[in-house]
Amino acid sequence: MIAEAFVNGADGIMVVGCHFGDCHYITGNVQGKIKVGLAERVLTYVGLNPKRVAFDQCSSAEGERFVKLVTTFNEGIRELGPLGTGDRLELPELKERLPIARTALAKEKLRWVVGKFTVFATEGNKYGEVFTEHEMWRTLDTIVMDEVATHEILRELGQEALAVTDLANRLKLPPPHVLRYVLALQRRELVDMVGVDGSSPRYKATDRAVQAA
Amino acid sequence: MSKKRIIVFGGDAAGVAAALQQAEAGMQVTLVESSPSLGGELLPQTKIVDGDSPFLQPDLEALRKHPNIEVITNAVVVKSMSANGKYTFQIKRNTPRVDMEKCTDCKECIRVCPIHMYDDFNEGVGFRTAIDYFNPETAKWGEYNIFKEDMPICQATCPANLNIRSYAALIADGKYAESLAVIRQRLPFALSIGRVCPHPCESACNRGYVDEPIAICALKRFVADYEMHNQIDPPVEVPDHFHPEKVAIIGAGPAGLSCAFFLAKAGYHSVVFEAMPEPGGMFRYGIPEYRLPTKTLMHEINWILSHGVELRCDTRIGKDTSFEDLQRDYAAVFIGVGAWTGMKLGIGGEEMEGVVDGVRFLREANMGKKVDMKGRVIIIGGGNVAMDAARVSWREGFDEVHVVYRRTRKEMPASPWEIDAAEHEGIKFQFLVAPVEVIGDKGRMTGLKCLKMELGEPDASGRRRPVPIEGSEFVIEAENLIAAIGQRPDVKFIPEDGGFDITRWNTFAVDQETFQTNVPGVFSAGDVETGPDIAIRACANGRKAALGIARHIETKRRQAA
Amino acid sequence: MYEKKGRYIVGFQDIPSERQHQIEIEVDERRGNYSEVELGFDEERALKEAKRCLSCRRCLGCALCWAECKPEAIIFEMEDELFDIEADGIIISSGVERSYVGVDSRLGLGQCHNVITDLQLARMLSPAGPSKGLIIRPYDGEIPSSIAFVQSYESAAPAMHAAALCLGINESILVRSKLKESTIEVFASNLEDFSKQHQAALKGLEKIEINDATISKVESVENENVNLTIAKNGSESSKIFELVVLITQPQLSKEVTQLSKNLGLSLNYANFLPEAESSVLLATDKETIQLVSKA
Repeated sequence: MIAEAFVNGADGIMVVGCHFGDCHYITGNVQGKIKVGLAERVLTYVGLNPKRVAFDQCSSAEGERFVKLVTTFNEGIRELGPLGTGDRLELPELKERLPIARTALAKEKLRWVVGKFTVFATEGNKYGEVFTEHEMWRTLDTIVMDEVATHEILRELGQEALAVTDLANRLKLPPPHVLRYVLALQRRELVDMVGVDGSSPRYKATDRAVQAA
Repeated sequence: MSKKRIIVFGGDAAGVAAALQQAEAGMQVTLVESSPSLGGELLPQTKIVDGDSPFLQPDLEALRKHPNIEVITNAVVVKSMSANGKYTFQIKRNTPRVDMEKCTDCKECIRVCPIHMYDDFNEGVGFRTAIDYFNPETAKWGEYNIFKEDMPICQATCPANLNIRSYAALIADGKYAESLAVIRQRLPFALSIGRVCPHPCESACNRGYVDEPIAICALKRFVADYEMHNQIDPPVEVPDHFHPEKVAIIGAGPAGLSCAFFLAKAGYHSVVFEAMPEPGGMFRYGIPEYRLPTKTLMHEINWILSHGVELRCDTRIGKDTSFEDLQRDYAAVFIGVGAWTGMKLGIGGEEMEGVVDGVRFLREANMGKKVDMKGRVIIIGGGNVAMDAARVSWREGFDEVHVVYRRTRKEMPASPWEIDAAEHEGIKFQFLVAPVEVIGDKGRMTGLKCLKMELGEPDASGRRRPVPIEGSEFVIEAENLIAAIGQRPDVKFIPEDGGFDITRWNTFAVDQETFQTNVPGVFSAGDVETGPDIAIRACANGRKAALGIARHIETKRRQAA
Repeated sequence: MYEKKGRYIVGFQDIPSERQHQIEIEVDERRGNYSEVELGFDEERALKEAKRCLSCRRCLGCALCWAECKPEAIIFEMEDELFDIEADGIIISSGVERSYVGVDSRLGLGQCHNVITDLQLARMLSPAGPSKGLIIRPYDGEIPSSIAFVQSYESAAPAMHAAALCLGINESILVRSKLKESTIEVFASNLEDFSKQHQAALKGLEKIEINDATISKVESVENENVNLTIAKNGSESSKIFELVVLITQPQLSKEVTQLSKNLGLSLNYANFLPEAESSVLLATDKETIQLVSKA
């Protein structure tokens, strides 16, 4: 939803939840905080300034506080200017990459993991390990980086066969990084080597990958 | 049943060939391999094969089909015993968490797995996912498994297996008390270990591959300091009821007090007998005050004692009380007397005035005994005791402190930061120098005759041995010499007819799980069991011994009932 | 300060970030007293440092694979198995483990992208390996047109030296069979005994040049190619390669070392190398324990 809004041209998003322990839906606000944090990370990774996304808490009785939160956020966005100014990437490129964030956030992987984190923080994971906040964000950070890069690579390789160096140039990622992802995708049968051009092996997304997208 | 049973350890190409050969010869063969797949190491190492395929070809098909061969992959030996020419191995097969009978090799799991991780099996070429398959050639379609670490590398490297990942993350969350509680689940000495530990965990830390390792030791110190500096009372959590049995502990050092602490947690009172006037062992008398202040140490020890531990100082076993008395009066005896006897150099003139061993020198300095510290002192040795002795000598007022070591700085066993600190304080190092003879006048040392060395060819273990350069003798003039070349335990306090199994290093031989000696009811850990080692290992083993003691007493109680 | 082989860590945004240092008292405040030298972290430093922790974890325990597995083959509750096996005789094979301890830090391992170890190359050569048998540069996935094999240790016992070289040269032969047009060179020292021992095989070796030389420096140059500084017959030269493979020393795995210790043997890797061509099994001090020969 948050990524969707930016794809549709929003300049900033603020999500306000109730205070912890005060939620009608019991853990809705905890989930909300993690989800907003995740969206913020994914969007930052595709080039957005993280200041454009905010999460805060406020109860229905704190009207004044609510106004203050919104005003401060609004001022912040005004200072940044419209989308593409004050962000890591500029407009045409940023616009192009925002849909990747949307795809990554919509896919089962991130949705599943993020859904699990409220459980991880209380009961623990399948091995009974209870996660601290720090551990949770560290883990999410890695997964986000991998997911976004994977989707970017699959998008390019779905269109044409490319060598690792071409791919790296297009995605502005270090070639050794791209190589590892390509090899990992090959292992998952989502990418195939379709031939060698001079000294460059070329890779293309498999039918399975194209269908899944 | 008359078939001879053979175990082959190692499922590389050579191991597979050997297993087949043995099975063909009529043996019943079990092949045990530690990785999830067979057939590694496929290239010959004793000949050059110039052809298109120099690969060795292990016949995995034949191996799988052979009726006399059983293959166990992903398995390690936990324990091995031998008696009358027969062997028994306890094997642990790590769970794959995947039922290969049901798996259809659709690869959906590895497509959805969110974890890309360093691929140990392929030496980091490419990634693997947390669930992945291995070597499709070995099994029907490769063996799937979920790779879950037993512990992160820091925790696995720590002798006490402290849950570093959790306590560091709790600090990052600002939860200091919770963090300290995690440490104390396995270690009562957060303040002390946080100051003195050479932290092998940091050398293993993965972050070291990209910039610098996490300062784990200092983090531990921080949470412990935070509690002490803010005058927070450390929690004393013991069971409501203690068992009637009492345990005698000999030695109030890192091992003994850790043992006492965890005995209390398990509901056992203990009495700690200490020969010295104050508790702490090597923490108190071995480690210099500038690294671990007595006040800080005592803060920690008093807290440990408040768990229902009785301390009797100035009580030497074998003199003030006999060992047999303890065996008679207590349900179990724990020996943690450390290693306090400095090794002799074995050169002429060593008995002269001015020559002292490292541990004794540090002990006397820690007890505030003043000696005439003037002129030049030579420290022999390259370990942490040598560094401590050098830095203490410098503080005591020697004009010049020289460390003499027979190899080079690279080979020094001391922690690099201790060497740096010593150098920083102006201590001089002489490398590739070995002592030959202490020379003196009327029984008082005046200098040390030395020989220059050079590093020779590496031996089978790969270490380059120092060899003397002929005719390179020279004399370093000095009034004092500290020999810090190692120390040994002194176990003379136990009765000669006690029947204890003592190793040639003067240490107790114990069961590595329970830390029980060969004499039932007597346990041992710390330097007196390992030989000189780092403090955290003594603490870790002291804890394991406590668990062993608790189990021993419970078994005895059950048998009596 | 710490010798390590390169290891991949994801590019977190806080990498690199400086390790926090403890507050220390000055050197001239230390003489003649025993004041504590290191004063630990203040809260700010501690928080900064703790946040650097990568929270290393393999399987996350999220069970997404479990949820997606149609045949329900994934069972998180499956436990490790513990059991005893009895035997009348034991055969030990050395397994695969290489030592990076002796690898000279000037040889670029972990620093230059296109410097890899012989074990990494072996994995690449395997058809079931991570690159499906393709020899590629770890930097950009390109197929190299020139490859150097470089001895990575200063010196070793003769049998160990020969084992490492045999493996390296066998790998180079495999590379040659896959990359027919590429330049392949081997750089190693103390070759006299080895050359004599393998005279016949080395004589017929085509398109692989073996140099009796030492490499004093390895550095990345343009396009992440690798420049070798070569010392040969007292003179120095340099040459650029697209991929460099380090020939390392084999060593016993921790498991084998521990096992042999438990069995009352003291083994090292050289014990597995027979002096002459001999049978599959080698004897040890103990009648019931044999070693699998590397021959």
